[in-house]
Amino acid sequence: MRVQTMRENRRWFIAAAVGLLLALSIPTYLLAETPELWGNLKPGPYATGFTTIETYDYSRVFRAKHNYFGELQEGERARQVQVCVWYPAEKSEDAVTMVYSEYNFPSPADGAFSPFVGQLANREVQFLYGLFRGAGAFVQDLLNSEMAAVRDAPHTDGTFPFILYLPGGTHHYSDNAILCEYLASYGYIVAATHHFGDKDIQATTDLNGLANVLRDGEFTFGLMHDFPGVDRDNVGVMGYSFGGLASVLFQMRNSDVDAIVSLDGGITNGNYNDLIRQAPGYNPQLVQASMLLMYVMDESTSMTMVDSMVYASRYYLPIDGYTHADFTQNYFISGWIADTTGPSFEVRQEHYGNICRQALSFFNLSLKGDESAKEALAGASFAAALTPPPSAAEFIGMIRAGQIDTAAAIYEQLRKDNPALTLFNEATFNALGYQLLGAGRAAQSVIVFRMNAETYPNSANVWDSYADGCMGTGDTATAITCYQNLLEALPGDSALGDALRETLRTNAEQGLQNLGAND
Amino acid sequence: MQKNDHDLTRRGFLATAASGLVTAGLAGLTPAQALAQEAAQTATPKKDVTFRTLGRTGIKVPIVSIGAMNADNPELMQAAYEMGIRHFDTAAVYQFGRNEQMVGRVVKQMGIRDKVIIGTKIHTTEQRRGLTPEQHKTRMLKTLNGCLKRLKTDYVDILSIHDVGDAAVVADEAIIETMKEIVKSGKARFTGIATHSNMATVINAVTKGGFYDTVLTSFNFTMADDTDLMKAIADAAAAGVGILAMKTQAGGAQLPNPASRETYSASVRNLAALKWVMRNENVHTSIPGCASLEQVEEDFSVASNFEYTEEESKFLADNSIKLSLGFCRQCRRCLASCPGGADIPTLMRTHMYAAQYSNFHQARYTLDNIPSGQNLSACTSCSECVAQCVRAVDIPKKIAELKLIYA
Repeated sequence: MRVQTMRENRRWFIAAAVGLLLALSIPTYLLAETPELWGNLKPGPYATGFTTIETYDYSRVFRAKHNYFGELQEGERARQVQVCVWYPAEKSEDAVTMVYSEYNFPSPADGAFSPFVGQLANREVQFLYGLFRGAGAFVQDLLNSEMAAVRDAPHTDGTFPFILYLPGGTHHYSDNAILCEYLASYGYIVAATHHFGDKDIQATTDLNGLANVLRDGEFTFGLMHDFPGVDRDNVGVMGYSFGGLASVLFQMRNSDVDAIVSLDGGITNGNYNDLIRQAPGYNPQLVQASMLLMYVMDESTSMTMVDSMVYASRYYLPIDGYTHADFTQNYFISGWIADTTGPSFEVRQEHYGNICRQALSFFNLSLKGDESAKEALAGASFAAALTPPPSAAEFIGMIRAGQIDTAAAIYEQLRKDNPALTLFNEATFNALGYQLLGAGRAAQSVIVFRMNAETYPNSANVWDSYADGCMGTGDTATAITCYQNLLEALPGDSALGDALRETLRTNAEQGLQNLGAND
Repeated sequence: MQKNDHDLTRRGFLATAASGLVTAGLAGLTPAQALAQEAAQTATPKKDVTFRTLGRTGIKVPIVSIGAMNADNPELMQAAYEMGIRHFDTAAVYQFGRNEQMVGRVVKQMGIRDKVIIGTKIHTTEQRRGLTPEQHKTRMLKTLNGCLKRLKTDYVDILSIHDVGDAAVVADEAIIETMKEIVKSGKARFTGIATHSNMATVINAVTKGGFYDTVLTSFNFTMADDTDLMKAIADAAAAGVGILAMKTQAGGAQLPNPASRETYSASVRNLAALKWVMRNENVHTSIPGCASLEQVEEDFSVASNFEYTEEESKFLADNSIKLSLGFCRQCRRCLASCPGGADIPTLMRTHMYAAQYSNFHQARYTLDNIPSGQNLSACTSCSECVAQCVRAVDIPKKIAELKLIYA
């Protein structure tokens, strides 16, 4: 009897020891409690820190210098910028995680920013009231909801890819705070800033609004340059709706960006095509990052813009059964209110979780080189990027260095792959041709003028220049063709002034006459 | 003449501190911690500031504290502390949590958590609709956790139930049990009730119930003839309930009549109103709302001197002023006069937040929490408002103004 008891004790001891060992072998982050709003999302190995940076963009004026009465407006008039950052942080048992209201009003360290940030917080609360159909108790519940981040938590050692997040057009920066927290917990530094107008806090989704988003994003990008732990060689940009559209344009203007995630962004919505084309610096061939396009399929869905971005590798991921709002956290949270017409809170939350996981997998693949993440993207159709062209400066540099044949071969191949390619600016290339002609390199100038004419066939002037080059080499037959093409292009070339139009016409007619083409 | 206790002796201090220790001990603090806290709280830069003890809590604070509701400038709170103010009053709903954040950030940055008294408030009434006691308890605890995180502290000194107008809420056993649990957990040292309507009944319920440590009540000179309220406050104070006063300046003491404004300056009106409250020894501290440094300075001057000037006496004696102020005492006698069943007292309070405090968030929140059918929609069936106030509050005018803002 006594022996049996000792055996039982020994068994108990061994079981306890094994249990303890097992418990110790489980990573602590798996033991950590995740916020209720995270649903089934599993946090990564890092704690998430959150902080803000307040500063002014002195290149822009937010408050007019003088008021209506002509009086000088005292105080700072520059555009206020508050950047909100999620980052991998040290784990601490004593750390106090944030509640949602701290995202709603990310207390600025500089008290002078309080009224501005407060106005944006009010705008968001009004939005939440609408979302919850005026039910103040639900808004309060949301504001009191636990989140995962710890305000101003100590940074953890290491460098981490940087992601710029651009929220929906008239949204608060925090419309995807859960996703931002989630990414930070897996070792990303994510920064977002507020969307607001030129002169007041109301944001717009027109061309001016787009310019604001891009300039604020670029200002934020610059500020984050020296943020602790930012890996400047691995950069992503991610946006929802209007922000998704802006994300692509952002990369167009900034080749440092390696990866783009569009969360049902306007880039896949045909209604925004005209706006995108009007954007400053619009040039689809400059998009050369890897893209994940998550989108819902409806009557406005259009891949016209995205398909033209052939130098970007593209993951197309249409998601059945989702709505546009599924791509932010707001929609599933609004499921707290019984909605007989839509999916349940749990279903919506799972939708959102899937979106978060897809975004993480894509960034792991694109910014961390984790090939295993491809598996998670298996549901997406993939379009590989074409070999990207050299920049205009690189291309012209080759020609100036005498590598005209190499340049021409590259040009031919790229044009074959992508007939819509524009490698250079018409005027710059035209000037280059004349420089070569003036330097006695007529044969090379003809190649330059030809490439220019092929790229800009509707320009009367390029044909005139091409003819000049041909006359320099004595190729009168081609010169005649050029003059004929010039006269054909002339009526439709709206860029010409009256005087230049007349000069070109005279040149062509005179040239054809001199070459006997009218005989 | 009122006797004030600003010449607190060391013996007096120790005696009061010792009485506080008993209560503090119940709240989970060691005697040494409690004494240190009391000493820290009592240490104030000004010698002539009057302190009073918040009933059985044993907490001693200057008789002028600060209601942070309308403030959004952290520097204001910092200045208030440096002036000598030691009690900050806020609430979960003020500025949708921003107000607590602002208070918490200031307190943390200044490193003064053990030197100040933080009072916050959570709603229960509108959240109770349709919830089981267990669900309601969960919600209360969740809200409190939100408060603590925003305030960057692991406890508040006074946790009050917000906006109580019904004695049944005071007696609600489920709420009391939850509050006991909160105190036991150390997340609140003391509990309280905040009321701006039906105050006498609510305060009497607190006194009778014996559970809640403090009452934060609407109280100002326009209520001088409300003997029920006066008695309720006196009885509660005698029973050891800490009494804190709000709405002390009658919603800003704005005078609609330009002639009256010329007769009595803003400063006279403001100081007279606050002095009237604090000359009542049953009121232990006040939480005037302040949105500017000048306001804080002026209000806090009352903690050092609450003798009336001649002008202030004249102002308070001018009965026409009380009527012209149009301050709604939330007596609820108007309810019977409204055929649409509108919750006129709460609508009047909404008007005060919007029109007199310019605190549109609080106005919006208050309006949104009026049950449907009793809010402004109840006013649409009448071509002309017929509701009447026995104290000449111009209900139709205020309702019309509210409609302009929130229709």
